[in-house]
Amino acid sequence: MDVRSVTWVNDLVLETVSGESRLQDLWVEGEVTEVKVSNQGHCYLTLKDPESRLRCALFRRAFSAVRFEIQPGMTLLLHGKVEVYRDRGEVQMIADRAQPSGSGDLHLAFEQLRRRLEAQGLFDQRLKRRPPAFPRRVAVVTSSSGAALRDVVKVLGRRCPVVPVLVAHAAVQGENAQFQLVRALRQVAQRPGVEVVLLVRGGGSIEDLASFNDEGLARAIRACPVPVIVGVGHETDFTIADFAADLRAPTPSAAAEMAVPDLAELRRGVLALRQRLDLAVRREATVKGERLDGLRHRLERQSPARLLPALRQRLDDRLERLQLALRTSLDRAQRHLAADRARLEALSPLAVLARGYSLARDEAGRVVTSIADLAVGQRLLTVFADGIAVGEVHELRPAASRGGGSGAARPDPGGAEAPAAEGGGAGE
Amino acid sequence: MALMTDAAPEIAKLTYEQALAELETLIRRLESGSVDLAESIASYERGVALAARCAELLEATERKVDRLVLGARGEVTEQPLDLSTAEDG
Repeated sequence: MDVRSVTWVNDLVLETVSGESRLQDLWVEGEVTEVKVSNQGHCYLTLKDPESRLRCALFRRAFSAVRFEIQPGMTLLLHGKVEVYRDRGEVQMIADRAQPSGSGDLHLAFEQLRRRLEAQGLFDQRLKRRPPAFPRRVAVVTSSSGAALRDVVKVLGRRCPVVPVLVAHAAVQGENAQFQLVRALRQVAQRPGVEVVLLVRGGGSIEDLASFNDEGLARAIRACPVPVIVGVGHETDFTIADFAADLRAPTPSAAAEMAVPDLAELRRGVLALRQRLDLAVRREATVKGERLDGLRHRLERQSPARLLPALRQRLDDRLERLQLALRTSLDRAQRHLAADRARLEALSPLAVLARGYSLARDEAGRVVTSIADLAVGQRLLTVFADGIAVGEVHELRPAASRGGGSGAARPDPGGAEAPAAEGGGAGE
Repeated sequence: MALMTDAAPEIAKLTYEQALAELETLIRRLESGSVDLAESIASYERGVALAARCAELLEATERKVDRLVLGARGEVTEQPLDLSTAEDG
């Protein structure tokens, strides 16, 4: 008997399989089980039907073209060829295309339309317009009963409640939906203040999205006078409208986020600018103020006013000296006065009397200085320091010589009067 | 300055973006320090007015949502949209 090696067997199977033309270009339909994506970006999965299983591989290039998520349980259409994995002796299908089952025609139609419009330049990046950062008004074209409208209005209100919203209802699926969408788009774009249009709807199957995969709608988007943001369903749903849009959002809520600015952020921005303005002006004022201060200081150093304290001090000085001089002369005057008073007292006749002299007066009080003024029998008053003696003239004797009767003559300035008084006194 | 006298009524007509752009330009000029005192005072006053205009445009008023309605004779009108009808979608 012939004994064959493992490799021999696998090689023959490989040869047989690759020689079978029915296995080279075929569509296989089955339910997906065990999906796995490798680090290199290849997708390995198993298709099954009620009786058997088939291993399949979508290599990176083919897999990256798949626009939907391949999930266990879904029915999948794969196109490709069947090969033998020689190392393991396993049969597997190498797929170059994958489609959800039951929508083959629509997918084909979608692909054909996309290619045709792309070739016509309808999706050209240069045609894309940037919506204004802060539109005066936002229009929403969608079904008025859909969850998409609720989401959009909620996001617009949360982010930027100052921007008014205009809603135009259009059926988003079913018969004639594409015509309603086109008409609503045209109508809102003409309303005053509308500067951006949101064309949105929730996610759905390719059948549901047919109205968004419409050539007429794609052309209406490009013809719209204001930028159009398209947001359909979930991130994995691409429609012709998405390609034609000025801006493509993964969901209706995301479209709303793109349409209006975040008000809180803008407020912070304005506040920051306001502070920068204040700072710029304050710094400017500080610089100019410092220069002014400098000049003022220099000016003040030249001012006559700075002489004032010196002048004042000099004045104080003078005043003090004046006061001192006044006081000095006052003192001197007082001292003179005291001396004068002493001299005056010394000159007083009473003081002379105290020294032992006496004074003669007539009855009229006149001082008698000569016997010629007297007559015998006349009353004569002799005044002493401690009182008056009253007498009568008995006799008048003229003096022989002056000073003879005045043994107690003194070198007193008032001595000139004394002899008369003495004479009077001697007359006692 | 001539700029100031006819500026005041004009600011009220500026859009948010116009006011913001002018404010930024004005601040950069002030920050460069190349402005004389009279002009910097005028610039400051205008800057304050511009910032106020921006803030005014960001002042949240009542949310306004209208709905486009097609009349029987094909005429298009706008009517306030009752948001509760959108909630049950």
